Amino acid sequence: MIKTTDTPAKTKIEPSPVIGDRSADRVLSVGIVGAGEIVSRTHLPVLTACERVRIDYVADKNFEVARAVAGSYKLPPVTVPNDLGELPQTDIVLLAVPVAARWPYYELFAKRGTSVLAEKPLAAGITDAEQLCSLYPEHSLACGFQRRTYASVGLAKLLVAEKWFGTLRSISVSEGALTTKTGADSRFYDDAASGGGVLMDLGCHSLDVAMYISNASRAIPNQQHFVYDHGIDREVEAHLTLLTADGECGLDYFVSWLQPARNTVELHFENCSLSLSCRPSLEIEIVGGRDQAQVTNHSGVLPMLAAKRGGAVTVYQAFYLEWTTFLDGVRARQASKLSARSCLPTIRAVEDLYTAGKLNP
Amino acid sequence: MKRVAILGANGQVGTEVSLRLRSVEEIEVVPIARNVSGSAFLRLNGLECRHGRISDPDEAQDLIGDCDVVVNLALSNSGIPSVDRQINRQIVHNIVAAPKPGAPIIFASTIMVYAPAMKVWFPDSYGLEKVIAERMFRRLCRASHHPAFVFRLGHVMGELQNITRKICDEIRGGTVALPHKGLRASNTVFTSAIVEAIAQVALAAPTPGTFDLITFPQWSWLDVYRYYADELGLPLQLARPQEVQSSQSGATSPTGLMRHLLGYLANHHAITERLTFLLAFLPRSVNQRVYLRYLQTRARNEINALRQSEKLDLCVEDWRELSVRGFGTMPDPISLMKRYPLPSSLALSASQMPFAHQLSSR
Repeated sequence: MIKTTDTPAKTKIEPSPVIGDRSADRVLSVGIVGAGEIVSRTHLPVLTACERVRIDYVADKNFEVARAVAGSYKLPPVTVPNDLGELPQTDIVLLAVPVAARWPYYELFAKRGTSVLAEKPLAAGITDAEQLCSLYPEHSLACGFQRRTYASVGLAKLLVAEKWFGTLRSISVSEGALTTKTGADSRFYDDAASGGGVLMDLGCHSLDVAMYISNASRAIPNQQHFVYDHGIDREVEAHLTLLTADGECGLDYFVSWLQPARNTVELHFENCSLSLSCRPSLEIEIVGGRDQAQVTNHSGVLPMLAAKRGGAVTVYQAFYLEWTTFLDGVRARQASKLSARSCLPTIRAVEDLYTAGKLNP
Repeated sequence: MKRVAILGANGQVGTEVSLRLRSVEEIEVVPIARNVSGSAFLRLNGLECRHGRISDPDEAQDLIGDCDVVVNLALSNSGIPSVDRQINRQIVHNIVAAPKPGAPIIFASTIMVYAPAMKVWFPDSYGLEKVIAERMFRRLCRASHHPAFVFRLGHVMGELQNITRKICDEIRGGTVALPHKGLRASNTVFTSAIVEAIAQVALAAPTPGTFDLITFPQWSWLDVYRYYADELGLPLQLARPQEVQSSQSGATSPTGLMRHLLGYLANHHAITERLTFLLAFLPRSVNQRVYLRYLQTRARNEINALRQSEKLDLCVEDWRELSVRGFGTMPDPISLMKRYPLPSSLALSASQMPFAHQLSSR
């Protein structure tokens, strides 16, 4: 489990209602706290293309960073003040600061009745996350597990829920690559408390996909193998048991920055397996027959299911749907599929896996 | 009794026209196809057919030499332009040379000669070929004293026409998206109107000329879809404008132009690479701004693609409304469809195409 001792003391705050105009078509004002790479390269290009949204400010501790990013989009830059209460009031805030520094913001925005879309990880652990969820109405707090918006993931969730291929028996997740390039945010990858570590940074997404598709309420680690380097997990291999409404479902899980992986999520049923890419896609491959791999090789036929529409097929589309899903939920005061509360099983699973890995790496 | 030859009777329009024309008492229909495979459907529906190649002068004489009226719906469509042009000109030549003297000849052309999809008159190759064939046909008829009728057909509607099947499937399938809320003229004609025009030529000897065979007054697409919805006994569900794909490019504003330019550059790696080299000479702040603007453009393009993918495609082309140079006075399409019926086994009903019906009724 990641240390949370550095986080400031918490005070109990009652959830506040959203203030102002509540009409379904109203323009929502958005403030952005944190002007890192994910904001400048992903959230801002997407948010500026969203309808019925007005971006009021981009804030960062470092004013030069805020100015550079905000200026590129012709938005007002703001320095994060020592007294956070001086931050301008908006309907929504995108919170994209390191997880360890977030709690004061959460408290402030809950008190203001501001809805928050938080970059993952939502919180440092399940206890914090649950406490956080209690501060906000469910529609007002969301976490950025945007892979739920992929077209293939939506289709997979549907066919598992409706048992098109029978009961789901197990899932295999394999994701990663030999990653030596850390990009502009290199410091982030060396700091586990910031959300670095392959499980927290990358693996939580595919773990969330597995839990979202299977509608699992819990993931219990049975076996795990962690590769640590300078205190950061670089590779995780584990077997977990997912608890679903249809009973237990095995999950073979592998995520790595040290070697290439298949980058797929495979769903195993009695007579066939389905494979979907970890990247946004319309399609799901089907492998059938008793000896599934052999049949595929002999026939040379690889059937596919494809979602006709209704999901993301690019990363920008995924973020766009993340935003529109959340914003629509705020307007309608209804929880979206990205609500923080719906992410709690994944947050718990990540923490449980880290805990198991610390005890028995 | 007038004997009316239908050349190209095995085509979509020819088949339905032949079957409907049979119901005219004073007319003997002579469907003509190149081979027995082509005529099988007509023969199984009780029509006696003739077989042969109208493009061959000798065969043409045998095929249409004893007919009182000749209707040419035949068209070579091999996909090889020079071959098609040659055969289609032979067909025009033979349909004028082979009939008995003074027999009226009807040449089926198309509204594509008006280039209805374009804002200016610039027909596609099909339209241009028809324009040239029309001229040739009129010239040959003048020389040989045949009354020449050119019928420029609109979108042909009828139970055996693909476009009608498509429309019925769309109605069965649920929401229908029409341009301009379906209120624009459809430039359509029903097969029964073609039959009526042929019957008038055969029985009433009208003045020859070039005519647009389009329902007049024009039916809008909404009229057409409503008609078929009624025929199927199903409700017509129209998409709201915001659910329909937009054909606007968005390049009219300076921002739109900039977006298009950046979008163009994003797709032309060679140019981008060279501009990147030049960009490196500019200050860092400019570099960052350009890069982020590029990402913004890319995001916008991908999001627009997503928005469009969630919208409905228009069911029909958004073409110009044509002003109709009509062929005399005709009853409305509903009356004509009843006057010239198809065999009952071919009539349109909701129970046709059982698979599609099962799917839509789930």
